[in-house]
Amino acid sequence: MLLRVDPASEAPLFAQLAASVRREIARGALTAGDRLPAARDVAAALDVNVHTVLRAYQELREEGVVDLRRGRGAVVATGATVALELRDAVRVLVADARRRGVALPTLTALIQEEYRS
Amino acid sequence: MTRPGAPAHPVTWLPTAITAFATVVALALELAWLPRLPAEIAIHWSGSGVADGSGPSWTVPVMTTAIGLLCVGLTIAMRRGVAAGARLGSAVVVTAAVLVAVLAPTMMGGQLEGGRVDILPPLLLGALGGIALGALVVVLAGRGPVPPSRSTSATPLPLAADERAVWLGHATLGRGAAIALAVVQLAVTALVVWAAAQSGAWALIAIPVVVAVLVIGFLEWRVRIDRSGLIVRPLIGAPAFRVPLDRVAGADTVQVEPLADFGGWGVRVGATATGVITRAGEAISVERIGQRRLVVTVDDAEAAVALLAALRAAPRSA
Repeated sequence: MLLRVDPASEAPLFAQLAASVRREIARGALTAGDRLPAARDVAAALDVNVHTVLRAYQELREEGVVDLRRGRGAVVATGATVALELRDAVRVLVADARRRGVALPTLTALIQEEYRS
Repeated sequence: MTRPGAPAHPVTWLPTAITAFATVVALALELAWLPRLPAEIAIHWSGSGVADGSGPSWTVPVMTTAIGLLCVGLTIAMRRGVAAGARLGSAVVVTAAVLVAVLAPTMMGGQLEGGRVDILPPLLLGALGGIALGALVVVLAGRGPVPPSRSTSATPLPLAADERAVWLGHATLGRGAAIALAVVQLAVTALVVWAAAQSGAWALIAIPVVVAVLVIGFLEWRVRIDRSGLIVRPLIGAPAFRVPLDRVAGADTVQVEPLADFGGWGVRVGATATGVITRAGEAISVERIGQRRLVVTVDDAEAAVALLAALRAAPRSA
């Protein structure tokens, strides 16, 4: 699994980490039952605070992406791979948008509007 | 993805041809002699060459066939190997097959019409012949094309100027190999416990316990790639393979065939590559400066190699 953070980015580090995990699940590098690495290992490798990593894991838990178990750490939850099933639909949508010359902000806006309605 | 295996080359068939030929000749002799032998013949000799065990004569051709098939199978499995380990492995298999092919029929032939046989001359002859043919295999077989040198062909992962990234993976023993290991481990344990009960030397039990700890410790290896480089560490923590970024000359994804490329599973040291080999398939192959390539079987090897390439391309603040 690949985890990445960019301190120069505007997004908070914990949100970037959580996004990394979500991306790894979406592309199939992480599947249900896989254990996420210990927070202190990630913190050391990426030179971030342990609490940043723990906060990312906490956020993922609130979304139902991982289960946090005492002694076992963070484990990818069974329902987490649902996103994977959406990936193909998204791919078709993005290809369609590209062909029609629809820019990313417009496409994102359309998705947000549809999601909230 | 490239396969390290060389394309079929006539000489790579040499070990298989020798093994099959020796087995067929031995079997033909044994079957021809079988009717002229008593039902029970000597099949075991003590260290000094005196017969000390007997068994049904038909077991000899059965054993010859079983060992022959096993050896032929092994040489075929190793055929595509280019690593020196596979070449040496084929040579050992050829040596063993020839030894059996000389020993088994001579042992039968010597006992025709109730004669006694001295096992030492055929043993010596078989061993010498086997070693000679094995040496021939080392020299000739596997001299296929040299595997292509693998420089960094992976597209580096796009990283922003300050972006930090880590790739984490593991090399875990395949299910088949794990089951085989467990069976061997259980058999050894049972044997040792039985031996200990017979002799009262209970300290012997320490052996399978230590072996079990080592086996469990090496079932899984953790692999990490970050700004400090590559580290491959077994569950028990040591010994770890560390490759600092500035010692990485290149990296690529390869397909590994454990028996053919490395002569087996586990930590494999060959002439051209060191391997942490837990299963067949996808692996990272890291070219090290001044050292052999390091090959580790991991899932998602492409992402690992892409990150390694990116980190190498942009050696920033540590």
